[in-house]
Amino acid sequence: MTGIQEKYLPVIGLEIHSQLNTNTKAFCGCSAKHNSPPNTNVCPVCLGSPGALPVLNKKAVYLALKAGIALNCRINYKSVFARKNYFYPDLPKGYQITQYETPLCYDGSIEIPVQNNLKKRIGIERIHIEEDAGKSIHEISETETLLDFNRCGIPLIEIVTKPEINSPEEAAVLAKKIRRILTFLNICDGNMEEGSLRFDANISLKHRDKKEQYGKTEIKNLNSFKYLKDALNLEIQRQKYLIESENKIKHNTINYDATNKKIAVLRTKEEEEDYRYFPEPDLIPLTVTKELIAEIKNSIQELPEDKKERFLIQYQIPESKADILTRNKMICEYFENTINLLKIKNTEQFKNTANWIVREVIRELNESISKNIDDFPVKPKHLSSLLDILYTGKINIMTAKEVFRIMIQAKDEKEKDPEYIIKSHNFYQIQDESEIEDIIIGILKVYTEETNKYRSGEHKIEGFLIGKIMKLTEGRANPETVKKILKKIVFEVQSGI
Amino acid sequence: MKPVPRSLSEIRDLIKEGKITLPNLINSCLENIKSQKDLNAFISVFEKDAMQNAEIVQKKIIGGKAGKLAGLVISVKDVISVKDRLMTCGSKMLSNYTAPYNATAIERILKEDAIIIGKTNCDEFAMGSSNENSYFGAVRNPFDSKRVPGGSSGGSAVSVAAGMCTASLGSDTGGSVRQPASFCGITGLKVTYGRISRYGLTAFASSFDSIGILANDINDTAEILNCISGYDENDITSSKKPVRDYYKEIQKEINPKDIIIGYAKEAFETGIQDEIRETILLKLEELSKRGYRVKEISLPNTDYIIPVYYILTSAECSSNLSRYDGVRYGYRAELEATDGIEEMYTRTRSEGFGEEVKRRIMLGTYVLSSGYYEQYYKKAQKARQLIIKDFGNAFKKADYIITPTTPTTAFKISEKTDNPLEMYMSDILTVSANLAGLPAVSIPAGKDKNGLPVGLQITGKKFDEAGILRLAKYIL
Repeated sequence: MTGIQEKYLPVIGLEIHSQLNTNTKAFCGCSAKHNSPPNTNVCPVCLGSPGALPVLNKKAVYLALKAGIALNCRINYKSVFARKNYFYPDLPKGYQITQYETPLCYDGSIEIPVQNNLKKRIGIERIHIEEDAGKSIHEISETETLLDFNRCGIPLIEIVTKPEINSPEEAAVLAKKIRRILTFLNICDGNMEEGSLRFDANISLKHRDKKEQYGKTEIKNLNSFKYLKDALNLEIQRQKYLIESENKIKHNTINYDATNKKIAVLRTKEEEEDYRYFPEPDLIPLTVTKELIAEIKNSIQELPEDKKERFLIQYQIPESKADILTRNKMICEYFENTINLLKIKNTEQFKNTANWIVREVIRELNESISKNIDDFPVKPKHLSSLLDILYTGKINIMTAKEVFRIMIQAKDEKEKDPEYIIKSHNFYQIQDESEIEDIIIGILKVYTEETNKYRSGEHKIEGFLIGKIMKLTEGRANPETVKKILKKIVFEVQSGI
Repeated sequence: MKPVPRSLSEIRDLIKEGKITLPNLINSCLENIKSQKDLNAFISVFEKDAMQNAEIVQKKIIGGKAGKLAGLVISVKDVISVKDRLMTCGSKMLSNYTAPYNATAIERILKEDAIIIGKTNCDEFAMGSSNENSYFGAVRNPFDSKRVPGGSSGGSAVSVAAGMCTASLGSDTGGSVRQPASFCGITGLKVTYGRISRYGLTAFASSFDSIGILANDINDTAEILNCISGYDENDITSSKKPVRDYYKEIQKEINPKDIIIGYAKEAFETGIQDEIRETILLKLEELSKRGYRVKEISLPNTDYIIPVYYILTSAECSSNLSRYDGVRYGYRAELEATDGIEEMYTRTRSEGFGEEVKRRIMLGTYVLSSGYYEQYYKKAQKARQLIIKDFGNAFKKADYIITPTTPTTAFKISEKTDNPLEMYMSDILTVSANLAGLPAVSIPAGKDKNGLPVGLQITGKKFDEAGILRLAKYIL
């Protein structure tokens, strides 16, 4: 099989459909929210009532431009909307408003990592704005198709790459990277299960020696990276088989059945409709200013990949943590703000900060209602102070977690101050070893049987005794110190207990 | 026929003097609608609501708190949305369709206390020049009921001419306001593209469509225009240019010497009824005698006007009418259990649309098809630019262009139904204003030997509605 793989080079291009993170639809004021009851986010415009006219959502243009700039595209200062005409029950106007001859962005590029630490540049052909269609629901009734127009008119961008991808793995890496950029810049929520992000892939094979390029097919509507990769692998096998058996590869549309891991030919392109594109007369050409582009460029500054690289070098945090911290722009900011506010700045503290945010903050966030770090009750100011206190050893990690929980619940600013919480709850670690000694001696007197077992070599009793001691100190003793003193008393002092 | 005052100012005076009340007036209009049912001008009449509103507005007038259009009884072409009312567009396809919202123009006239008396008959989806293409039957000309009233706003023109209301809102894509106004002896204004919001006007050809005003009195035209024109955030193609006070503007004196009237010889050539040519030439002579400078101008691309117009409007209409598919509203063919979506579309659209609409959908689909797009649609777009340029050049030499509105006076019912091309030629003098997005008004200029009205058309520069209306008032 590898022999054949070497013989043919896959040539792949992706079309990435990404819903834009807007509050309202592309051409009307209806909410763009997901999961509303069917047909509640609709109006005469998105339902195609006679006489209704589209009005372009400026936020959609802003986000599309942001994607274009992040993907190094050139921008058409004047772009034109077009109508793509076809009949389908979930397309209320009988046409989709899209861009055809003059898209908003074109001629961009993106780099992906390939083997041997090398990078490969993939061209972006174009990015254009269009509206989503409604949903046809066939599952509820056997005899009828139900229609939900809530999705109808939600703004999308279609990112079209050049056919410069040469393996399913590269396609998946590229798709992941684009998703990361889109979610990081808040252009798209990236939710592939809900269809916010979906891929079409066109693929053909090229004979490496003969340089012959065979026919192309298009795989439609893939909504996971794995499906993308699996579907491409299957289609490569199918095309190879056709070539080897000297069959022509027809310009087919391919459907991937994820449940059965199978591909099926939907229709040939020749049977496909003529979309009769023409400029949308209800909209004026879209003009963007240099100022707007400059403003967007300014707002982007650093892309997730660059941020991650910088975090690795500047803060020496592990890659796995840097990866999580750079998935979301606001989390990045939270992390860096916390670092900047630390009084003790060294790589150990940077790692502590990264760990704390990844383990504690993000976990709390995922369980919260808003999921937005801006709404998170513990701000970088208090977190940095907590991390500093922890670093000095005045409290132990268990206490720090307790303090953090109190901070989350706290009602006002003062109650969120870890210094205040520690004082008012008397959380400071007992520094005086003789005080700990007294407590240990007291405990050993109560649990004489266990103490004897421990002394005679039943090591597992140690944990039990430490637990009792920690409980009595309300967690304020350092467990390591407790262990040290316990051993000393039990095994060295032989104080007649 | 019950006598009905011709203009808003007359109505206001009579009400103030206590000689009539607004409910009286509505009654007269309703009686005229009933007694002239054979003219078939209305598709729906808002008897009860009009009467109720009349009482409210009457009180407002007496109390001195009435809006600018209080006293005006308006009919609305059945392609413009009036909330919670049927809007059939003269089509079987929408014969059961209720509009869910008000068009911007409707919102604006209602705000000024106009009373809407009903929705008028028209050619199906505003496609036609005789008002014979309506699912609800042909409309007849009040001057001779064997003749057409013109189209597509035939019902609107008849409702004004026959005392069923004082003014009407129509739509003009290629002459659909001016041609019936001309055939029925009233004033019909088509505004600059974008002057009046299209929001709520059922689209026929989006880059040509405009709402127009039909009235007896040109002062009413100006007053209505004051209320309904201006930018609308729901129609991005509407213009932000400030609205002038057209009523005030047209009361101003004109110094004839300041004005150059263009005489386009192409508009007086073959195919123009002799009496029309003579009537309009006589008017030009009169103007010249009164001191206006009349200058010959040329519109060299006149031959392309009709083909370019029909290619582009049909292309846009084929797409605009795709939404009538039987899925969400309107007519749906009765289907067998075994029929699929294809059958639903085909049968619904075959049965729901009339012949002329289907002809244009097919023509439009054809000119947009791949392989023909460049040859027809793109070429026609280029030719449209040439025609716009012609007008640009003409308006360097003249301030206004005067032509007949139509090549003939009202023709007989069925006379041209078998010959669509001949029918299309009746728009030859009006479509160019739509191609170039210019304002144009048709006013009555006399009558032919059969007593049928002749219309004179004044075309102006973009957004010079004030100018053409002022000149029109002067000529009247």
